[in-house]
Amino acid sequence: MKRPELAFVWGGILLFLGVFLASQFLNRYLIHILVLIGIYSIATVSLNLTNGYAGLFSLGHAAFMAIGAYASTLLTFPLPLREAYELPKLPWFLGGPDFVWPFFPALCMGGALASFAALLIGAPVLRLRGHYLSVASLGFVVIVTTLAKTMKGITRGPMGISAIPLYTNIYWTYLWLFITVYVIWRIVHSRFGRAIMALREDETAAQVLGVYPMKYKLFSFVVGAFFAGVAGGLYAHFTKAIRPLEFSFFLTFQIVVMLILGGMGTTAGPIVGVVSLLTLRYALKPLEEHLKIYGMIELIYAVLLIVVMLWKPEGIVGRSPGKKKRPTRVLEGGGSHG
Amino acid sequence: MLKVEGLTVKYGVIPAVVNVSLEVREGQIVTLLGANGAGKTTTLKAVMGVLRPAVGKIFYRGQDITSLSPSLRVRLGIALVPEGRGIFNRLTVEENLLLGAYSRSSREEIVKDLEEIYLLFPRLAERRKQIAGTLSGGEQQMLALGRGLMARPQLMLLDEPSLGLAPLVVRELYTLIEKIRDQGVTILLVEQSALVALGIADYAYVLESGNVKLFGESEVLKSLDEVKRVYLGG
Repeated sequence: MKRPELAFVWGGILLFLGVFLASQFLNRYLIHILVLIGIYSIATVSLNLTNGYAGLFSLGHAAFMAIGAYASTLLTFPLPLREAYELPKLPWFLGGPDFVWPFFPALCMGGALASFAALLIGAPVLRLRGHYLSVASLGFVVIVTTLAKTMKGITRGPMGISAIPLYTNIYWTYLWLFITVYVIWRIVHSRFGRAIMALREDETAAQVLGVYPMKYKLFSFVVGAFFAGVAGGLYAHFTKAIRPLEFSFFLTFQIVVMLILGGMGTTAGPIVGVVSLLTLRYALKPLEEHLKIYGMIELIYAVLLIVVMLWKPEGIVGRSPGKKKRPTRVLEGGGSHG
Repeated sequence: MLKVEGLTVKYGVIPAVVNVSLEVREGQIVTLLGANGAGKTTTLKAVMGVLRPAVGKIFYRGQDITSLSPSLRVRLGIALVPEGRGIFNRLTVEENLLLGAYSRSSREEIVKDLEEIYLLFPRLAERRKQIAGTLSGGEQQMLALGRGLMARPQLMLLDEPSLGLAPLVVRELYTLIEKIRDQGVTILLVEQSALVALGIADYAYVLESGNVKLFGESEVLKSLDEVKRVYLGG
């Protein structure tokens, strides 16, 4: 086995031990925070594939999470409550009206549906570049939340679905986080990964080397959406209640801030971003409640984002290749144009 | 080897290249000269397939490739080293080179070629793990050449390799380009600085506002008064 693979095996064992110890010795509140950190990490690590490595600055992640959350909720919803909640019965191709999906396949199905949605909207949206892509993907969030509000027969509309069975625990969460990190790490460190980074750096240059831009962009978008869908499913089965409002632009904003703050296009960056911002949130929560300035934490997030953009745009762990391009260097290096 | 017939390329409605015909013979260095906006880069991009011609046909080894995608043209043996080098700044030197071999599948051959590139450009070997964006301009141009060679091209399209480089570096670069030609790679070279390009080219075309104005053997063109006055500053 190669060394990095071995590192993942050891990392996996250590992670399991850590999770085991945490579940034994930490109180429920701390475990609650750890699970949220795990779920947000899955979302942020997967967003890193599209936004960080492929350079497609998508703001649509919340929509994929919503799809995953609603799909896995509907698939696993207990039969006796289904009528009371006026939720639809499953059609024959999803197992029929008397079938309830187990948790793991339901999560995968939620991810798959999110991927399918990514495939559909990716084809037109990924033709756009830069800000146009961001705005169009944001439009997708609006579409999905609006649909969730209006398709009352399936989603119960704005009031949302509650009494979702609590399946998500710290083990499930960190198992999925491990899978997500491993899969994305594998993708990035392959020939494919080099190709998507090449597209990010210089699309024309990559194209003339034989990289098909559309195929690769779409693939990274679809893979990112899958794990976003899984994160959504985990979230639904953790909070036990979902409403369309929770998957609005605000969720996207949080994940994007976590990613940028941690460092886009790095393996550790997204997780570092999640851990630092969520820790900050829960550390400041008592203060916020005491001062009764609700939304203070969001303000701090926004200010932090501005500060990071100004002083360390590559994020906490990010390395910038621009470091050597300061004017002084250009003067000393003969003919440096880079 | 390469034949361009009656090529017209438009950006929207504005023609950048009008009715350009040219030919590149195997084993030669052919240069495409002209001022800014003469249509040199546009012509190269059309040969590579990045731009689609409005009118005209492109033949490579007798095969009509006008409708093929850039990826397919790479597989046929054409490589473009784009203007401004098109280096992938945040990737390492080695990753850049490996991307050059993107359309090839044999791992062993790729590794072998990588070693050959490092022999040809020792400075890239020293910096194989360095982030490409931190290389000097000359090194970046060498990386771009090396990356182009990693595709094992038979025809290489070079777009202004001397751009922004110090004269000494340009001389070094051109020695390398001649070396590449000597290894059997045919080269279509676009340049603004006509003097250096005519120095190594066998044949030259001069473009002006999207049209071929002059063409002929480099030696002959060099001696023409018109070329001297306009392009060689003499």
